[in-house]
Amino acid sequence: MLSNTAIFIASAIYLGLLFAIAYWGDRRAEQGRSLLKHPAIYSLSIAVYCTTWTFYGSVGRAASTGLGFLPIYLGPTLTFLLGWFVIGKIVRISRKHRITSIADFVSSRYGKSHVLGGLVSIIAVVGIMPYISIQLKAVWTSYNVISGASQIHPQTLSDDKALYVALLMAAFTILFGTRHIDATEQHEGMVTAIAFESVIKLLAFLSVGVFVCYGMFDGLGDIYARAAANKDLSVLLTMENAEGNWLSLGILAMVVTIFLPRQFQVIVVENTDERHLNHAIWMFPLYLLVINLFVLPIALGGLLYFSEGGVDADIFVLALPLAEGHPWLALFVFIGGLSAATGMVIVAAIALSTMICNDLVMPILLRYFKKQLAARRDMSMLLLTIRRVVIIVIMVLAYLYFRLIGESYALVTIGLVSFAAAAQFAPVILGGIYWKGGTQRGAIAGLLSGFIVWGYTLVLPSFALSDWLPISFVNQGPLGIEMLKPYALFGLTQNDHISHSLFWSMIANIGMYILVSLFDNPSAIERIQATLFVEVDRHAAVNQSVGFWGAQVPVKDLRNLSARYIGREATIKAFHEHALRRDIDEVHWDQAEPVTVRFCERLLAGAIGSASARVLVASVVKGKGASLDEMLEVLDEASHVIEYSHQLEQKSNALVEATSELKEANEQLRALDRLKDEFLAHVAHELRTPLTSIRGFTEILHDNPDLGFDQRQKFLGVMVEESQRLTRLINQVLDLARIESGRETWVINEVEMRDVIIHGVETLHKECEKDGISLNVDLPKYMSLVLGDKDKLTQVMINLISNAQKIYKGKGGTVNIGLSDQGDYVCVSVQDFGPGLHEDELEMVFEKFYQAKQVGTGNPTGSGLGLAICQRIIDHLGGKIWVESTYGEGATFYFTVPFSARALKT
Amino acid sequence: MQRPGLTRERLTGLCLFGVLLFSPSLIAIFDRGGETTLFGVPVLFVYVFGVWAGLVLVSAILIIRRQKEGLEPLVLEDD
Repeated sequence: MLSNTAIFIASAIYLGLLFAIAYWGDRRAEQGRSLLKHPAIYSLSIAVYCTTWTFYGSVGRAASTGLGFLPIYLGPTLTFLLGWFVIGKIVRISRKHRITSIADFVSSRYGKSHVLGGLVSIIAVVGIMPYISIQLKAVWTSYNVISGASQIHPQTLSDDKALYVALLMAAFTILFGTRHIDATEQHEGMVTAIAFESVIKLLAFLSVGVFVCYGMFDGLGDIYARAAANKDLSVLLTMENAEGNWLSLGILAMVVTIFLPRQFQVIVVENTDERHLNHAIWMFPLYLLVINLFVLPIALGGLLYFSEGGVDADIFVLALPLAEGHPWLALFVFIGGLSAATGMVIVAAIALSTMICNDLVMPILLRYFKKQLAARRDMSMLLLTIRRVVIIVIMVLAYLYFRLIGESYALVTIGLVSFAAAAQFAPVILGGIYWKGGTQRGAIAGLLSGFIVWGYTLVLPSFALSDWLPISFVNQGPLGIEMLKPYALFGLTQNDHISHSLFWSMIANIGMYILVSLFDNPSAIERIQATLFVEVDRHAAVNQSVGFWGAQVPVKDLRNLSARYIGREATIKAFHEHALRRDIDEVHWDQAEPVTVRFCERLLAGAIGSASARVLVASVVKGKGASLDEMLEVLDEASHVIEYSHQLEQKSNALVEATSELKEANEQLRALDRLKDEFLAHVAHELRTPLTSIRGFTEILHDNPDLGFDQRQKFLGVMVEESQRLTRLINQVLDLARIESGRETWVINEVEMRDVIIHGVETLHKECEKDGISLNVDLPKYMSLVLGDKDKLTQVMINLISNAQKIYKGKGGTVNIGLSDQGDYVCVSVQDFGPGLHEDELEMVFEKFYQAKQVGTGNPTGSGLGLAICQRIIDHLGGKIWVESTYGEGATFYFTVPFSARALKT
Repeated sequence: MQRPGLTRERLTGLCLFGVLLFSPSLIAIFDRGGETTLFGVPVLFVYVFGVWAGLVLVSAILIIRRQKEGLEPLVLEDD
């Protein structure tokens, strides 16, 4: 046993040393020679994960479950292997947004919501309370063991050493973490001290481990052999007692190793360089491995040594060296345990006080005591006071928890309650960094329901077991409703309360989070923050200047604002650095750019949390800049207008096209109309000529009944001729109309072209002879089978020959008719040696009534429709018709008709 | 020179492998009680701590080797 004085002096020296280290670390950081440059310090600070739970509790746990203590350390090992994916992303987001705590992170992700920040803070404080209380319990118990005092309940409050321990720790934490307000909320000195503590507790535990294994027993093999021989202990060498909650504890540890407030503090908030994470990925698991090496040997050794019982397994590490008469080793172990406890308490209390101050108290003050706040010049003192008070309150609450509930439980059992509470943060954070759809209301619903289920299935029953509630609440369920029994909710009976609670609270938490999010309509800022968090790696994905567009704020106002919260010197320094980075001329720096407003907001966020910072900056900028929603609306509108005008443009383009097409069509229609008119006029004209002559002669015959027979015959002959012409003309008009309207019936066959030509020539032979015209037909010997309508082709042939005949006007001449092979086509030519055609007439001759116009002066010899009909027939048969001529030297008409398929084959 | 992100993928694979190795069904294979020992230590403990040490060792090798190649897997762009 050691005297109180020795214990007190040793503790005081140790705590003084810690404080000196912290002070030294802070000084080095201020001088820019930070001790945190080395990744090992970062990794060691994360080892704050190992508290008295590990130091004392693991042995206790191992003494009852064998390997059952291990999932708590295997989980973090696996999580850290995923360090770059999950932790790295959270660290990066937090640094970009100057996140100060886990509450700040959640609130910032879901639209900088005060409600959410406050909720997370409350859950954290309530949830972590049991955890802090076990540190008090461990320190108090270990003190009693080492000083030989009895563990009876103290009679008066002033007699209770545990209260002194709590107040001392509060004082120590206040000295450590709340000496001044830092713009980044990083405590380099504290981190250095925590790293040092991690070394001390590791060394203390290893030394007692070595002592037990080799001082008291003959090495590991001896302990295991004796345990295996002992029938009570042999079960600890199997998985039998460990298996029950192996998985659920592992999963729990996997998530809480990041989401416990103090773990979030050291891993994320206190991270000075992301690259340190690289080495923490293996160093931290290595630390866990080493500190756990001797847990089982100590537990088994203790059980063997104190085989008659009477010693709590939680204090084997102290009791064994004491029993063997090594008080100084026991003192070292006590210091190690104190290390583990103070480390945890300091970091947890700082994390919680920051959270409560930034995310619970400040928003309330800003909202309801705006006037009083505005009157204060220096806010940093207020912030510090709030935090100090919060720390004391937290420690007192933890003390109460320990005295009222915690005394009857083992360390690990109490700690696991906190683990289950911290696990409630996992869905909203993991969902928040990977799923943009998670909304504020969803997060609130998830957290709240998870928290309620946690409280119902873990905390309320422990109240009942400590006689604060009727025990029937646990055994029969509330109001005797079996289904609602807190340890067997809805009839799910499980021996392990933690797994049971974890199962139901996660179902409630994740279920509500997803369900509400899916049916929610998030606000603009929620959507923006969601994108910024999820897509943190895509630098250009979203414009970072979320906030106060077009705000016109004097820089002076922003400086004053931040000076009130983080102090004048720090403000000047920060603004100076900002001006340098942005190339701003500080002398003529009147109006703040949006980027400076944002910078100021983040600067404040580092000290008082993002939600409060936003409110503060908005109070300076108020009414001057467009609000986020307005801005987004404008953006929405603008994009709609752009979209609309784009559509309009497309439509008008289409309209222009349609118009021009219509114009063209209209033009064509007009031309056709004109043609039709002309055609009608021509037809009428052509009809009138023979009609006039018929009428004239008829009148003569009518008026002169005594005309001579010869005369009468002659007149009648003219009338017959004119009638025939009339008939012919009408036939031709009908022909043309039929062909043009597509109503003509065609008989397409294989036709021998030579027969067609001969037939045409024979038809006109006599008439030509009469006029003294010789027809020279020059046909090849071979067959010329074409695909066409024999009658129509004959009509073309007759037309062309009779045209040539008419050219000579009865004066006689020569007409050459030929046929040639043009590969795919047969080409027929009809040549005359008449006056020929002008060059501009070559195409016009195929127009309707063309010839009539030309010959209009004399007696028309044709209807002027013949060539037009020919052209349409040849077109229909797939050939071509044209005329070649030199004026004064006659003309040659050609037309082609395609060979038939059989002709092409031969 | 290895392609970027390979180390983190290997570490993820290692994590999944770890989950597998620490699963109760695999551990049960080595759960032979106190009589079956290796170097005087029950094989159950040798297995669990061995796998654990293996995970730490492999991840340390992966990370240190990567750092020697001068690759910085995580670089933060500030402001």
